[in-house]
Amino acid sequence: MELNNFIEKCREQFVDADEIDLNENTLFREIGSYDSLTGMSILFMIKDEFNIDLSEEIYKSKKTFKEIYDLIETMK
Amino acid sequence: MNQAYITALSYYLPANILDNKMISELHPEWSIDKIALKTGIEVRHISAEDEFASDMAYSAASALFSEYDVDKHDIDFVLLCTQSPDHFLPTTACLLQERLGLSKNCGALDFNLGCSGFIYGLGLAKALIQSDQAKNVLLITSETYTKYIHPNDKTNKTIFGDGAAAVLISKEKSDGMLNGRIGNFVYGTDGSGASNLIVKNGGARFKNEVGIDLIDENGSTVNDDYLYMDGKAIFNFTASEIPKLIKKGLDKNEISLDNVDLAIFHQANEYMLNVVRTRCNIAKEKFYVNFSDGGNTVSSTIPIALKRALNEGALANVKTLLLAGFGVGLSMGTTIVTIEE
Repeated sequence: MELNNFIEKCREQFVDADEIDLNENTLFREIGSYDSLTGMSILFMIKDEFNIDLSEEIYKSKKTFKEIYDLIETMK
Repeated sequence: MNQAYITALSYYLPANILDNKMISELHPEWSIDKIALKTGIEVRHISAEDEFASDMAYSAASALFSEYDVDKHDIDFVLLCTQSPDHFLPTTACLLQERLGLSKNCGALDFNLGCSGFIYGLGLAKALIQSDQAKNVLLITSETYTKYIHPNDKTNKTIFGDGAAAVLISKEKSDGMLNGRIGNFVYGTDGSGASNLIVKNGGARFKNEVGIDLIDENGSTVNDDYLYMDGKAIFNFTASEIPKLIKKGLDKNEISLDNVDLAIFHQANEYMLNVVRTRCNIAKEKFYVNFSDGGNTVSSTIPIALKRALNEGALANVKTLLLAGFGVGLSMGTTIVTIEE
Protein backbone atom coordinates (compact mmCIF):
# COMPACT_ATOMS: atom_id res chain seq x y z
CA MET A 1 0.00 0.00 0.00
CA GLU A 2 1.28 3.46 -0.94
CA LEU A 3 1.71 6.07 1.77
CA ASN A 4 -1.12 8.20 0.37
CA ASN A 5 -3.50 5.23 0.45
CA PHE A 6 -2.46 4.50 4.01
CA ILE A 7 -3.18 8.08 5.06
CA GLU A 8 -6.59 7.85 3.36
CA LYS A 9 -7.35 4.63 5.27
CA CYS A 10 -6.38 6.41 8.50
CA ARG A 11 -8.56 9.39 7.61
CA GLU A 12 -11.55 7.06 7.21
CA GLN A 13 -11.23 6.12 10.88
CA PHE A 14 -12.05 9.66 12.01
CA VAL A 15 -15.65 10.34 12.94
CA ASP A 16 -15.54 13.54 10.85
CA ALA A 17 -13.50 12.01 8.01
CA ASP A 18 -15.24 14.09 5.34
CA GLU A 19 -14.27 17.34 7.01
CA ILE A 20 -10.58 16.91 7.77
CA ASP A 21 -7.39 17.11 5.72
CA LEU A 22 -4.47 14.94 6.66
CA ASN A 23 -0.97 14.56 5.29
CA GLU A 24 2.04 12.49 6.17
CA ASN A 25 3.28 14.99 8.74
CA THR A 26 -0.02 15.80 10.44
CA LEU A 27 0.20 15.48 14.23
CA PHE A 28 -3.01 13.50 14.15
CA ARG A 29 -3.63 13.36 17.90
CA GLU A 30 -4.06 17.14 17.83
CA ILE A 31 -7.09 16.90 15.55
CA GLY A 32 -10.15 17.80 17.62
CA SER A 33 -12.15 14.69 16.86
CA TYR A 34 -9.31 12.27 17.62
CA ASP A 35 -9.82 10.15 20.73
CA SER A 36 -8.79 6.77 22.08
CA LEU A 37 -11.46 5.01 19.99
CA THR A 38 -10.03 6.56 16.81
CA GLY A 39 -6.68 5.13 17.84
CA MET A 40 -8.18 1.68 18.40
CA SER A 41 -9.88 1.90 15.03
CA ILE A 42 -6.58 2.76 13.29
CA LEU A 43 -4.94 -0.23 14.98
CA PHE A 44 -7.74 -2.52 13.74
CA MET A 45 -7.37 -1.08 10.23
CA ILE A 46 -3.62 -1.89 10.32
CA LYS A 47 -4.43 -5.42 11.49
CA ASP A 48 -6.97 -5.91 8.69
CA GLU A 49 -4.89 -4.35 5.92
CA PHE A 50 -1.41 -5.57 6.83
CA ASN A 51 -2.07 -8.49 9.19
CA ILE A 52 0.13 -6.72 11.72
CA ASP A 53 -0.75 -6.47 15.43
CA LEU A 54 0.77 -3.16 16.42
CA SER A 55 0.90 -2.72 20.19
CA GLU A 56 -0.71 0.32 21.74
CA GLU A 57 2.62 1.21 23.33
CA ILE A 58 4.43 1.36 19.99
CA TYR A 59 1.48 3.14 18.37
CA LYS A 60 1.52 5.78 21.07
CA SER A 61 5.21 6.47 20.39
CA LYS A 62 4.43 7.52 16.79
CA LYS A 63 3.34 11.09 16.15
CA THR A 64 2.57 11.12 12.41
CA PHE A 65 1.11 8.71 9.85
CA LYS A 66 4.47 8.69 8.05
CA GLU A 67 6.15 7.36 11.19
CA ILE A 68 3.53 4.60 11.49
CA TYR A 69 3.77 3.77 7.79
CA ASP A 70 7.57 3.53 7.91
CA LEU A 71 7.33 1.22 10.92
CA ILE A 72 4.83 -1.04 9.15
CA GLU A 73 7.11 -1.23 6.14
CA THR A 74 9.89 -2.58 8.34
CA MET A 75 7.53 -5.17 9.86
CA LYS A 76 6.27 -6.67 6.61
CA MET B 1 -39.54 -30.12 16.32
CA ASN B 2 -41.54 -27.05 17.38
CA GLN B 3 -40.63 -23.72 15.85
CA ALA B 4 -40.61 -20.44 17.78
CA TYR B 5 -41.76 -17.17 16.24
CA ILE B 6 -41.43 -13.55 17.23
CA THR B 7 -45.02 -12.53 16.68
CA ALA B 8 -45.46 -9.13 18.36
CA LEU B 9 -43.30 -6.42 19.88
CA SER B 10 -43.69 -3.02 21.53
CA TYR B 11 -41.52 -0.71 23.55
CA TYR B 12 -41.67 2.05 26.10
CA LEU B 13 -39.42 5.08 26.64
CA PRO B 14 -39.83 7.32 29.72
CA ALA B 15 -41.16 10.84 29.22
CA ASN B 16 -38.21 12.68 30.79
CA ILE B 17 -35.46 13.45 28.33
CA LEU B 18 -31.81 14.47 28.34
CA ASP B 19 -30.78 15.97 25.02
CA ASN B 20 -27.38 17.11 23.78
CA LYS B 21 -28.13 20.77 24.53
CA MET B 22 -28.82 19.88 28.16
CA ILE B 23 -25.58 17.88 28.41
CA SER B 24 -23.63 20.70 26.80
CA GLU B 25 -25.04 23.17 29.31
CA LEU B 26 -23.99 20.90 32.17
CA HIS B 27 -20.57 20.24 30.64
CA PRO B 28 -19.71 23.29 28.48
CA GLU B 29 -16.41 21.75 27.33
CA TRP B 30 -18.51 19.36 25.19
CA SER B 31 -20.35 20.98 22.30
CA ILE B 32 -23.76 19.78 21.12
CA ASP B 33 -22.29 18.91 17.72
CA LYS B 34 -19.42 16.98 19.21
CA ILE B 35 -21.73 14.82 21.34
CA ALA B 36 -23.94 14.01 18.35
CA LEU B 37 -20.95 13.31 16.12
CA LYS B 38 -19.25 10.99 18.58
CA THR B 39 -22.28 8.99 19.68
CA GLY B 40 -24.96 9.32 17.00
CA ILE B 41 -27.38 10.12 19.84
CA GLU B 42 -29.57 13.24 20.10
CA VAL B 43 -31.93 12.38 22.97
CA ARG B 44 -31.93 9.95 25.89
CA HIS B 45 -35.03 9.09 27.91
CA ILE B 46 -34.57 9.05 31.68
CA SER B 47 -36.73 7.12 34.12
CA ALA B 48 -38.50 9.27 36.69
CA GLU B 49 -37.29 9.15 40.30
CA ASP B 50 -40.17 6.86 41.20
CA GLU B 51 -40.06 4.80 38.00
CA PHE B 52 -38.25 1.47 38.03
CA ALA B 53 -37.61 -1.56 35.84
CA SER B 54 -40.94 -3.20 36.67
CA ASP B 55 -42.83 0.00 35.85
CA MET B 56 -41.23 0.34 32.45
CA ALA B 57 -41.64 -3.41 31.79
CA TYR B 58 -45.31 -3.08 32.69
CA SER B 59 -45.71 -0.14 30.28
CA ALA B 60 -43.98 -1.99 27.43
CA ALA B 61 -46.05 -5.15 27.97
CA SER B 62 -49.28 -3.14 28.28
CA ALA B 63 -48.45 -1.40 24.98
CA LEU B 64 -47.96 -4.82 23.38
CA PHE B 65 -51.31 -6.10 24.70
CA SER B 66 -53.20 -3.05 23.50
CA GLU B 67 -51.44 -2.82 20.13
CA TYR B 68 -51.86 -6.46 19.15
CA ASP B 69 -54.73 -8.87 19.53
CA VAL B 70 -53.03 -10.81 22.31
CA ASP B 71 -54.95 -12.62 25.03
CA LYS B 72 -52.66 -12.19 28.01
CA HIS B 73 -54.12 -15.31 29.58
CA ASP B 74 -52.41 -17.30 26.80
CA ILE B 75 -48.99 -16.30 28.12
CA ASP B 76 -47.45 -19.18 30.01
CA PHE B 77 -43.95 -17.85 30.70
CA VAL B 78 -42.42 -14.44 31.44
CA LEU B 79 -38.72 -13.80 31.00
CA LEU B 80 -37.43 -10.46 32.26
CA CYS B 81 -33.95 -9.34 31.30
CA THR B 82 -32.72 -6.68 33.71
CA GLN B 83 -29.64 -5.60 35.62
CA SER B 84 -31.55 -2.95 37.51
CA PRO B 85 -34.28 -4.98 39.25
CA ASP B 86 -36.67 -3.27 41.65
CA HIS B 87 -35.29 -5.36 44.53
CA PHE B 88 -32.53 -7.90 45.10
CA LEU B 89 -35.44 -10.21 45.73
CA PRO B 90 -38.16 -11.14 44.94
CA THR B 91 -37.85 -11.77 41.22
CA THR B 92 -39.18 -8.74 39.34
CA ALA B 93 -40.86 -11.05 36.78
CA CYS B 94 -43.06 -12.35 39.62
CA LEU B 95 -44.17 -8.80 40.39
CA LEU B 96 -45.02 -8.40 36.71
CA GLN B 97 -47.11 -11.59 36.64
CA GLU B 98 -49.37 -10.07 39.26
CA ARG B 99 -49.39 -6.52 37.92
CA LEU B 100 -50.04 -7.57 34.32
CA GLY B 101 -52.81 -9.94 35.44
CA LEU B 102 -51.16 -13.01 33.94
CA SER B 103 -52.17 -16.54 34.81
CA LYS B 104 -50.91 -18.03 38.07
CA ASN B 105 -49.92 -21.06 36.01
CA CYS B 106 -47.37 -18.84 34.29
CA GLY B 107 -43.64 -19.41 34.86
CA ALA B 108 -41.60 -16.30 35.56
CA LEU B 109 -37.92 -15.54 35.99
CA ASP B 110 -35.42 -12.71 35.73
CA PHE B 111 -32.09 -13.11 34.04
CA ASN B 112 -29.15 -10.81 34.53
CA LEU B 113 -27.58 -9.76 31.25
CA GLY B 114 -27.05 -6.41 29.58
CA CYS B 115 -26.53 -5.61 25.93
CA SER B 116 -26.49 -9.26 24.85
CA GLY B 117 -29.64 -10.00 26.87
CA PHE B 118 -32.23 -9.81 24.11
CA ILE B 119 -30.43 -12.50 22.09
CA TYR B 120 -30.14 -14.74 25.14
CA GLY B 121 -33.80 -14.11 25.91
CA LEU B 122 -34.78 -15.25 22.42
CA GLY B 123 -32.67 -18.36 22.93
CA LEU B 124 -34.30 -19.14 26.29
CA ALA B 125 -37.79 -18.52 24.89
CA LYS B 126 -37.15 -20.75 21.90
CA ALA B 127 -35.81 -23.50 24.17
CA LEU B 128 -38.89 -23.32 26.41
CA ILE B 129 -41.15 -23.65 23.37
CA GLN B 130 -39.17 -26.38 21.65
CA SER B 131 -39.13 -28.45 24.83
CA ASP B 132 -42.91 -28.06 25.22
CA GLN B 133 -42.57 -26.15 28.49
CA ALA B 134 -44.36 -23.12 27.07
CA LYS B 135 -46.42 -22.01 24.08
CA ASN B 136 -46.33 -18.23 24.46
CA VAL B 137 -43.37 -16.56 26.12
CA LEU B 138 -43.41 -12.88 27.02
CA LEU B 139 -39.81 -11.66 26.83
CA ILE B 140 -39.31 -8.25 28.42
CA THR B 141 -36.12 -6.18 28.54
CA SER B 142 -36.07 -3.27 30.97
CA GLU B 143 -33.22 -1.17 32.32
CA THR B 144 -32.83 1.96 34.42
CA TYR B 145 -29.05 2.25 33.97
CA THR B 146 -29.27 6.04 34.34
CA LYS B 147 -29.92 5.52 38.05
CA TYR B 148 -26.43 3.93 38.19
CA ILE B 149 -24.68 6.86 36.47
CA HIS B 150 -22.76 9.39 38.57
CA PRO B 151 -24.14 12.93 38.06
CA ASN B 152 -20.70 14.06 36.86
CA ASP B 153 -19.98 11.08 34.64
CA LYS B 154 -20.47 12.92 31.38
CA THR B 155 -19.18 10.01 29.27
CA ASN B 156 -21.78 7.43 30.31
CA LYS B 157 -24.43 10.14 30.54
CA THR B 158 -24.13 10.79 26.80
CA ILE B 159 -24.45 7.11 25.88
CA PHE B 160 -27.08 5.44 28.05
CA GLY B 161 -30.81 5.99 28.23
CA ASP B 162 -33.59 4.07 29.97
CA GLY B 163 -36.20 2.00 28.19
CA ALA B 164 -38.07 -1.28 28.00
CA ALA B 165 -39.32 -3.59 25.28
CA ALA B 166 -41.81 -6.46 25.28
CA VAL B 167 -41.75 -9.23 22.72
CA LEU B 168 -44.14 -12.16 22.33
CA ILE B 169 -42.55 -15.41 21.21
CA SER B 170 -45.04 -18.11 20.22
CA LYS B 171 -45.16 -21.71 19.07
CA GLU B 172 -47.68 -20.82 16.39
CA LYS B 173 -47.71 -18.14 13.70
CA SER B 174 -50.69 -15.78 13.55
CA ASP B 175 -52.24 -13.80 10.73
CA GLY B 176 -51.19 -10.17 10.69
CA MET B 177 -48.28 -10.71 13.06
CA LEU B 178 -44.54 -10.40 12.40
CA ASN B 179 -44.00 -14.19 12.35
CA GLY B 180 -40.21 -14.11 12.56
CA ARG B 181 -38.96 -17.68 12.92
CA ILE B 182 -36.06 -17.79 15.34
CA GLY B 183 -33.03 -19.63 13.96
CA ASN B 184 -29.93 -21.13 15.52
CA PHE B 185 -27.80 -19.36 18.09
CA VAL B 186 -24.14 -18.81 18.77
CA TYR B 187 -23.14 -17.40 22.15
CA GLY B 188 -19.86 -16.22 23.62
CA THR B 189 -18.56 -15.13 27.01
CA ASP B 190 -15.30 -13.63 28.26
CA GLY B 191 -15.53 -13.07 32.00
CA SER B 192 -11.95 -11.82 32.08
CA GLY B 193 -13.40 -8.48 30.93
CA ALA B 194 -16.00 -8.29 33.73
CA SER B 195 -14.40 -5.27 35.40
CA ASN B 196 -14.54 -3.25 32.18
CA LEU B 197 -18.27 -2.63 32.56
CA ILE B 198 -19.40 -2.87 36.14
CA VAL B 199 -21.26 -1.40 39.10
CA LYS B 200 -18.81 -2.69 41.66
CA ASN B 201 -20.38 -1.76 44.99
CA GLY B 202 -23.84 -2.42 46.39
CA GLY B 203 -24.11 -6.18 45.83
CA ALA B 204 -23.28 -8.77 48.48
CA ARG B 205 -19.50 -8.71 47.88
CA PHE B 206 -19.03 -4.98 48.42
CA LYS B 207 -22.23 -4.16 50.26
CA ASN B 208 -20.66 -1.81 52.78
CA GLU B 209 -17.90 -0.28 50.65
CA VAL B 210 -18.18 3.42 49.93
CA GLY B 211 -16.85 4.66 46.59
CA ILE B 212 -14.59 7.67 46.18
CA ASP B 213 -14.92 10.19 43.34
CA LEU B 214 -11.99 10.05 40.93
CA ILE B 215 -11.53 11.92 37.66
CA ASP B 216 -10.64 9.89 34.57
CA GLU B 217 -8.66 10.97 31.48
CA ASN B 218 -11.83 12.35 29.85
CA GLY B 219 -12.65 14.53 32.84
CA SER B 220 -15.54 12.28 33.84
CA THR B 221 -16.12 11.26 37.45
CA VAL B 222 -15.74 7.57 38.22
CA ASN B 223 -16.79 6.00 41.50
CA ASP B 224 -17.23 2.33 42.44
CA ASP B 225 -20.77 3.04 43.68
CA TYR B 226 -21.77 3.89 40.11
CA LEU B 227 -21.59 2.50 36.61
CA TYR B 228 -18.05 2.22 35.26
CA MET B 229 -17.26 1.53 31.63
CA ASP B 230 -13.84 1.26 30.02
CA GLY B 231 -14.98 2.34 26.58
CA LYS B 232 -11.71 1.43 24.94
CA ALA B 233 -11.78 -2.14 26.31
CA ILE B 234 -15.40 -2.61 25.23
CA PHE B 235 -14.57 -1.24 21.79
CA ASN B 236 -11.64 -3.64 21.55
CA PHE B 237 -13.81 -6.64 22.56
CA THR B 238 -16.56 -5.70 20.14
CA ALA B 239 -14.41 -4.89 17.12
CA SER B 240 -12.28 -7.97 17.69
CA GLU B 241 -14.84 -10.65 18.66
CA ILE B 242 -18.10 -9.76 16.92
CA PRO B 243 -16.87 -10.40 13.35
CA LYS B 244 -15.85 -13.93 14.44
CA LEU B 245 -19.19 -14.41 16.23
CA ILE B 246 -21.12 -13.35 13.12
CA LYS B 247 -19.20 -15.77 10.93
CA LYS B 248 -19.94 -18.64 13.33
CA GLY B 249 -23.60 -17.62 13.49
CA LEU B 250 -23.98 -17.57 9.73
CA ASP B 251 -22.26 -20.97 9.46
CA LYS B 252 -24.54 -22.46 12.12
CA ASN B 253 -27.58 -21.22 10.21
CA GLU B 254 -26.04 -22.48 6.96
CA ILE B 255 -26.35 -19.15 5.19
CA SER B 256 -23.91 -16.56 3.85
CA LEU B 257 -23.88 -12.82 4.38
CA ASP B 258 -25.36 -12.45 0.89
CA ASN B 259 -28.53 -14.15 2.18
CA VAL B 260 -28.96 -11.58 4.96
CA ASP B 261 -31.39 -8.82 4.03
CA LEU B 262 -30.93 -6.67 7.13
CA ALA B 263 -28.66 -6.71 10.16
CA ILE B 264 -29.70 -5.22 13.49
CA PHE B 265 -26.94 -5.11 16.07
CA HIS B 266 -27.02 -3.79 19.61
CA GLN B 267 -27.16 -0.01 19.16
CA ALA B 268 -24.29 1.00 21.39
CA ASN B 269 -22.53 3.91 19.80
CA GLU B 270 -22.66 4.85 16.13
CA TYR B 271 -18.91 5.11 15.68
CA MET B 272 -18.30 1.67 17.15
CA LEU B 273 -21.17 0.20 15.13
CA ASN B 274 -19.61 1.52 11.95
CA VAL B 275 -16.26 -0.06 12.75
CA VAL B 276 -17.92 -3.39 13.60
CA ARG B 277 -20.07 -3.27 10.46
CA THR B 278 -16.99 -2.65 8.32
CA ARG B 279 -15.06 -5.48 9.96
CA CYS B 280 -18.04 -7.82 9.43
CA ASN B 281 -18.18 -6.81 5.72
CA ILE B 282 -21.84 -5.80 5.99
CA ALA B 283 -22.98 -3.18 3.47
CA LYS B 284 -24.21 0.06 4.98
CA GLU B 285 -27.63 -0.25 3.32
CA LYS B 286 -28.13 -3.65 4.99
CA PHE B 287 -27.28 -2.35 8.45
CA TYR B 288 -30.10 -0.78 10.45
CA VAL B 289 -29.22 1.98 12.90
CA ASN B 290 -31.94 3.93 14.68
CA PHE B 291 -31.14 5.10 18.17
CA SER B 292 -30.61 8.85 17.93
CA ASP B 293 -33.82 9.09 19.95
CA GLY B 294 -33.22 6.86 22.95
CA GLY B 295 -29.50 6.18 23.01
CA ASN B 296 -28.09 2.95 24.35
CA THR B 297 -30.98 1.33 26.22
CA VAL B 298 -28.87 -1.80 26.91
CA SER B 299 -30.91 -4.99 26.30
CA SER B 300 -33.75 -3.03 24.68
CA THR B 301 -31.86 -1.52 21.73
CA ILE B 302 -32.38 -4.49 19.40
CA PRO B 303 -36.15 -4.92 19.97
CA ILE B 304 -36.64 -1.13 19.82
CA ALA B 305 -34.73 -0.95 16.53
CA LEU B 306 -36.67 -3.96 15.22
CA LYS B 307 -39.97 -2.30 16.06
CA ARG B 308 -38.86 0.96 14.48
CA ALA B 309 -37.77 -0.88 11.34
CA LEU B 310 -41.17 -2.57 11.24
CA ASN B 311 -43.03 0.72 11.72
CA GLU B 312 -40.94 2.46 9.04
CA GLY B 313 -41.58 -0.28 6.50
CA ALA B 314 -37.87 -1.17 6.50
CA LEU B 315 -38.82 -4.86 6.85
CA ALA B 316 -41.14 -4.80 3.82
CA ASN B 317 -38.72 -6.70 1.59
CA VAL B 318 -36.79 -8.38 4.36
CA LYS B 319 -36.88 -12.14 4.79
CA THR B 320 -33.67 -12.83 6.67
CA LEU B 321 -32.61 -10.76 9.65
CA LEU B 322 -29.25 -11.01 11.39
CA LEU B 323 -29.33 -10.01 15.06
CA ALA B 324 -26.35 -9.61 17.41
CA GLY B 325 -25.94 -8.36 20.97
CA PHE B 326 -22.73 -7.76 22.90
CA GLY B 327 -21.48 -5.99 26.00
CA VAL B 328 -21.34 -6.29 29.78
CA GLY B 329 -20.10 -9.64 31.04
CA LEU B 330 -18.42 -9.60 28.67
CA SER B 331 -21.11 -11.44 26.78
CA MET B 332 -22.29 -11.81 23.19
CA GLY B 333 -24.81 -13.70 21.11
CA THR B 334 -26.21 -13.83 17.60
CA THR B 335 -29.10 -15.44 15.75
CA ILE B 336 -31.02 -15.32 12.50
CA VAL B 337 -34.72 -14.46 12.28
CA THR B 338 -36.57 -15.50 9.13
CA ILE B 339 -39.77 -13.60 8.45
CA GLU B 340 -42.50 -15.89 7.17
CA GLU B 341 -45.95 -15.21 5.74
